[in-house]
Amino acid sequence: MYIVVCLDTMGGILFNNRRQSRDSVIVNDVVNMAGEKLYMSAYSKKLFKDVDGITVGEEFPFTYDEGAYCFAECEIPEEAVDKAEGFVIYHWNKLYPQDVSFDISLVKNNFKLESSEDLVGTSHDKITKEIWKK
Amino acid sequence: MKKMKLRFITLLAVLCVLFTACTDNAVTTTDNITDVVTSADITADVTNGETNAPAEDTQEPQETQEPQETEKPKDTTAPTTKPAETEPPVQTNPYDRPITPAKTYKPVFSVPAYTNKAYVAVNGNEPFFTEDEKTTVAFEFYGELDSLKRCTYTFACVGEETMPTGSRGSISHKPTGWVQNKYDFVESQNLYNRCHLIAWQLTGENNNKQNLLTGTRYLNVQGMIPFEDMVGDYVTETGNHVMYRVTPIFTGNNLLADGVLIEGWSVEDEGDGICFNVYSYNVQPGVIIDYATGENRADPNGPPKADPNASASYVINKGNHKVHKADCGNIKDMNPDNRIDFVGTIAEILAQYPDASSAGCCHPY
Repeated sequence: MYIVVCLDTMGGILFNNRRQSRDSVIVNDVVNMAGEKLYMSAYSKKLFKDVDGITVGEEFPFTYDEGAYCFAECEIPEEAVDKAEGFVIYHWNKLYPQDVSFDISLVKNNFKLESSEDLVGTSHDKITKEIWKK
Repeated sequence: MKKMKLRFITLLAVLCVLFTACTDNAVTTTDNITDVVTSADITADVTNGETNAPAEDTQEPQETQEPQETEKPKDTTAPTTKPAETEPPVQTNPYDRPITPAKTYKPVFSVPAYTNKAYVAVNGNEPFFTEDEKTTVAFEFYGELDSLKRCTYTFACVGEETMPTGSRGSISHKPTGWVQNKYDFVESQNLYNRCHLIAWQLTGENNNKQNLLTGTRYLNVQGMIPFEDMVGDYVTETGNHVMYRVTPIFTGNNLLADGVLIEGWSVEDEGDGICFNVYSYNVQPGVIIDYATGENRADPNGPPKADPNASASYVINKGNHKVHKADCGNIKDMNPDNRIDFVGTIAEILAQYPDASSAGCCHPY
């Protein structure tokens, strides 16, 4: 299972139970990457409202299936980090308000940065996509 | 003879029964028509499938008098097709009307003293907008300066139509409390910024003195821009509108505001996208400020240092092991091959990288 998450410069994920930002480029990229193995909450599904084949779950991480992608717009528990095959992180490269953040060190949890690429967003000049694997 | 008489009486009795039934039916039909008052009732009659009324007309009189207003009358001219009311009603936007903002706004709330967090939630993070203040009709309002020439409040319905398309110009106006000084531990050195109450990126107002406030670099970068970017991104991605109100809070006749109240609420999705109510502090860690005049000086205790045992986000330069705060403006374009994202304590960094040192631009420790 891969955990897919969007972070600001301070590791922030949410503010007042709402996503910090959104970008259609990320939606398309996630869909192309995950195919039929994309899992998310009902809240996140609104972001992917025109996409079929997504499994909506109640509690993160929704599945531990190998090769599945779990889109996280919530706190990410340590247990999920322990069992994850890898992470796909989209860095907004901006600072947003936050009250839920991702504070777990990937390096200390034996993940290694496999690749990094910059995407040009529709409302973001640069979104950095990182893939981390164990 | 007797048989013939008996047959005649029987026939007469049958005829009497038949005559009575017909008379009652005429009365019942009339009653049904008077019970159906509106077209909605008729609709209800039809949609309830009450098409078997004619059969009921042959029932006993007391049954036809049951209070079944939904009974369809025998009238053959009654509609036989389902009316338009079965189609889903047209969705109307209750906020699609202009509003007139109030000339003054004095929110009542309380916040704790500053403790290392650039902003705090107010009113459970729910903005104070009333229903009458919500609209999808874009507008901008900038309150008049008060008698001390201080800005008062600003209010807008932000949308794609309010956002600027050109480039930003220069600002010449100096808001009250503008006593500028430089400090090497402040990002970009200048203590004060001319802070737009409503960001230029949202409404394009630049040198409008009614939209400008003397704010610290910390207020601007940590306490205002994050909210402005959140709203700007949302409007750009969705095309929706956001109610956005910024109110500076002054104590007495002070020329420098203590902070600003920032409220935001997305209209079309009724707050599902954007909803916040925060107070951002007009402070600068490491600087002592006189809010009566805006004068300022360095804190003799120096800028605050990170708690070496508190976990936080840092970025370490792989080459020289300079440690930056994760939100340092100088690391945005750091080569990913040179960058180490580290979440942990300063003590852990120094344990792993004994030669690490604090970056001079952001002073993490």
